[in-house]
Amino acid sequence: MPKIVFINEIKDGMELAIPVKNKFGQIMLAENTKLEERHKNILLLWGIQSVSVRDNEEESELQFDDAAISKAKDQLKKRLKWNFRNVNEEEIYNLALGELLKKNLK
Amino acid sequence: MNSFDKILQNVNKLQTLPTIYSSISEALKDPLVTPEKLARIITVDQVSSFKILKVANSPFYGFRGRIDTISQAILYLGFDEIKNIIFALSVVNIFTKDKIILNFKPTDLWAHSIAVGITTRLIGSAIGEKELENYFLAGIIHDIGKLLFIEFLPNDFEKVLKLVVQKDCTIREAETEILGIDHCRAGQILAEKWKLPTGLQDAILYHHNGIKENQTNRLIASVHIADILATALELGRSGDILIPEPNFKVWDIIKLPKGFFPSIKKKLIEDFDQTVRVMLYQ
Repeated sequence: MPKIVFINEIKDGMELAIPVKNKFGQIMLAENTKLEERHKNILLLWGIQSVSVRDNEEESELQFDDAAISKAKDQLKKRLKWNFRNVNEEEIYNLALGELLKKNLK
Repeated sequence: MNSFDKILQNVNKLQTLPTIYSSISEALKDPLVTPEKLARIITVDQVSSFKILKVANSPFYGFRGRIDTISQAILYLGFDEIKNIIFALSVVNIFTKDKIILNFKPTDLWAHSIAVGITTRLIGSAIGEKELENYFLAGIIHDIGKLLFIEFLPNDFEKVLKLVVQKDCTIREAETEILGIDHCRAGQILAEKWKLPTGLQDAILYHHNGIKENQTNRLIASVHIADILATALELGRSGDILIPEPNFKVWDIIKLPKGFFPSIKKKLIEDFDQTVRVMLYQ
């Protein structure tokens, strides 16, 4: 899962998960670019404050069975009465579902 | 007297913003004002200075633990951002925090607003917004109308919260039915009284629509989406049980890349915990 880091937190070898674009939508640094120390100054010069990099740390992903997922989906249906129409909305839906799953586990 | 008139009347009675905010606003009218002069004005109020430094060192500004003095804070964050931090801290203190209505606490609402502020700023940063200083503040104050209801119309607001559950509707629909005015309009009345910039007034008034008329206003669109995300993740409480549906047109105004929301989640929750502690409890 990608994570956002501020420019001063960039470490050598971090990989861009999302391309860096300027306000006109032009790609300044492509996805998968391996960041180096020199990129920090360039990014700051462009007025970029944070970038999205791949999180290589082992994430202890929780596993949920079908029954738990089905229960959380039913719960979410009561609060979220719209269908997602694009990838952004699908991500919001999935984050809400993930939070419910974790809450139910507790 | 209807709710609209009651709000109008009470807004005029509401405590004015603290001296430190008006002194800073006055000083900033001088185009030749120096950071030293501003720092002198701020440091007179030691409690505020302490809180400003805490907020300035919040991780979402990216200078974690490196700003030691008010002068440095002004230098790193700029005049407008510092003014907005002072404003945000002042507003939090104007409203009572101990008026609990049906388990709904003002501190829960402030926590929701802080989550919206942080998310709005992260969206602004992701879409390459150059003038980010209003993004955090717009999120902080977007629901200020609800605080007016809690403060001045507590009995009616209790009916609103009950109706939200009974009718399974949005808080805005319930407010309109019970009060004849929603929190967006009530908040905008207060923002107008405080002479906040039009951009912030519009963010308060249109944050549920996501769009003002046919304009492509990125600040309104960002607050709209941030509000939905904060409600979905249950960061604080907005009074809404339903997660509002995004206005689909908003995605054309703020084009967010695939993977954006999962990518900010961890940072959002970390920044949220820390900022809530600083702004509400320290």
